[in-house]
Amino acid sequence: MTPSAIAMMIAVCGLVWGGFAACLLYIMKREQEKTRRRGG
Amino acid sequence: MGGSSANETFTSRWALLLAALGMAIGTGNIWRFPRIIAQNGGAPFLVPWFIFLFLWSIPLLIIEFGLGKKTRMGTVGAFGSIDRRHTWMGGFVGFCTLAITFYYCVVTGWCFRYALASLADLVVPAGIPGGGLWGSERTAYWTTFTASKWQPVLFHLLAVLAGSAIIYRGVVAGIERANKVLLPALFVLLIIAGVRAVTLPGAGAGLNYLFDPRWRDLLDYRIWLQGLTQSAWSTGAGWGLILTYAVYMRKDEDIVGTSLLAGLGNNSASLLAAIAVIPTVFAILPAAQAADVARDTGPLSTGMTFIWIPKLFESIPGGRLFLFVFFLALSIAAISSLISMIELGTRNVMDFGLTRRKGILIVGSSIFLLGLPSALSPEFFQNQDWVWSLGLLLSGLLFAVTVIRYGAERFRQELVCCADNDIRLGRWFNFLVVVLIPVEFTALIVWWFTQAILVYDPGRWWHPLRMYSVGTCLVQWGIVVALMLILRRPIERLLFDRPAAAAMKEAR
Repeated sequence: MTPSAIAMMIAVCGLVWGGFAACLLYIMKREQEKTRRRGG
Repeated sequence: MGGSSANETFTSRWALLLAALGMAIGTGNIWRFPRIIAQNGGAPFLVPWFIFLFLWSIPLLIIEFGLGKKTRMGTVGAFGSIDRRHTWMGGFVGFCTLAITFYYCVVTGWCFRYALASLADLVVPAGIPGGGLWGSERTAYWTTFTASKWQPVLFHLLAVLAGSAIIYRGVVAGIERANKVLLPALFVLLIIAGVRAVTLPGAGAGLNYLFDPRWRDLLDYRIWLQGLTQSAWSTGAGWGLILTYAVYMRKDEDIVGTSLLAGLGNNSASLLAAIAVIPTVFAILPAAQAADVARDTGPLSTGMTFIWIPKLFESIPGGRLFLFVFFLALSIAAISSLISMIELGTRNVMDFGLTRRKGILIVGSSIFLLGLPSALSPEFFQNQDWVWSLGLLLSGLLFAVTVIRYGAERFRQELVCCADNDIRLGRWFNFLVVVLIPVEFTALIVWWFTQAILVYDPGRWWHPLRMYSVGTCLVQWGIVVALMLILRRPIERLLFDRPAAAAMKEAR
């Protein structure tokens, strides 16, 4: 693989999978906070 | 069986999210995406594909969630609840998705057939009596399967029965439970296939093809239009499916975060599928031939999936197992989307006061009967794919038009932004809906119709009985719109003037 292809792979996978994972983690945290607020 | 209101609401946000992902991730992610990315030169295509996720798909998912959550009705009732003059639009959106369901169910049957054949090859390595998939001449195998007529019909029926059986059990026991099993299994299978692909000797050439940035290609407008098309078709935005699932979401559920997760999850699965498929092709074939194979459309767009994948997997260690993994993943993706389509029809029928059982009976038998022409005739299949895939773009526009007429700012404030939102939806949403989605629709429809006029059928582009003509689209869409307008009054009476309907809506 060329260095530019490796860089592009990291960027694309980072944006798509990283974006999905980051969004998932953020929402999990928010859900935990909501549960705590409700006294669950 | 479903029917009680306890069984008609998703039990948690994660259940709703898994259902939304199951809806979005379909055969298009595994089957179409790797081919389209190869046809559009690899990496440059990924840029518009990712950008349009935020400029078309996610705004439409947000609109669908907002409409479904607010109105608690299927497509017809939801559009009509917002504005009685828009009832026909809900009818068009619902019919368009159902028309796709008729032939998508046939495709699901093909996936089942190949998954079963690859399983048989796995458990009986000595060979299946009468000839298995393994070691056969692929094109002949495919042709024999489709030409037999009874086989596509039988597997089409199996797909209808499998999807209907899940829907029959209701939202929690059916849709929710099925997606809790199907979606994790699908991601695990895709990861297994992806890891296997990138660890094959020579896979680097495929990854290079997939990710080597050729920025000049971004100047080609066709890459942008293909990226927008893939984003519109793949995420299920504007189909009315998320609207249907939103009917069953809890009152305090967040919309923006769930839409974002559904869109990004869909693209994550697409990327995994491309990484599982393209490096495999390049690892086995010489680079020049590999690019041609990855781009091969083949009969009914099956080239890569049903013709080449079985052949390529023969050349890799453990190929029988990985061939089964691939077709199992494809079948799971197909059925998880199919159940959302059947639910869309069932929800609309239930809004007229029928029970879930009767709704499924009507919708399931309609899908089977109206899918038969596509199961038996490749020409009919291709015509329907052309007409209703483009119809989906119109469906997306109709969602935007409804929000524009309602008032984009009012929609954002009243139907989307609630106290429990995890992510705030800014005013940029108004711009996307009022300006960008109509512009994107216009660009897409002009481009696809221009393709029909200049490339697909130059002499007879206006003819309504041609396979890929502008005329066939306009006539079939026109018939549906005319029917919806003619039947508007009785539909509205049945949907909105029944005390039982109002009571049920209030209960949800």
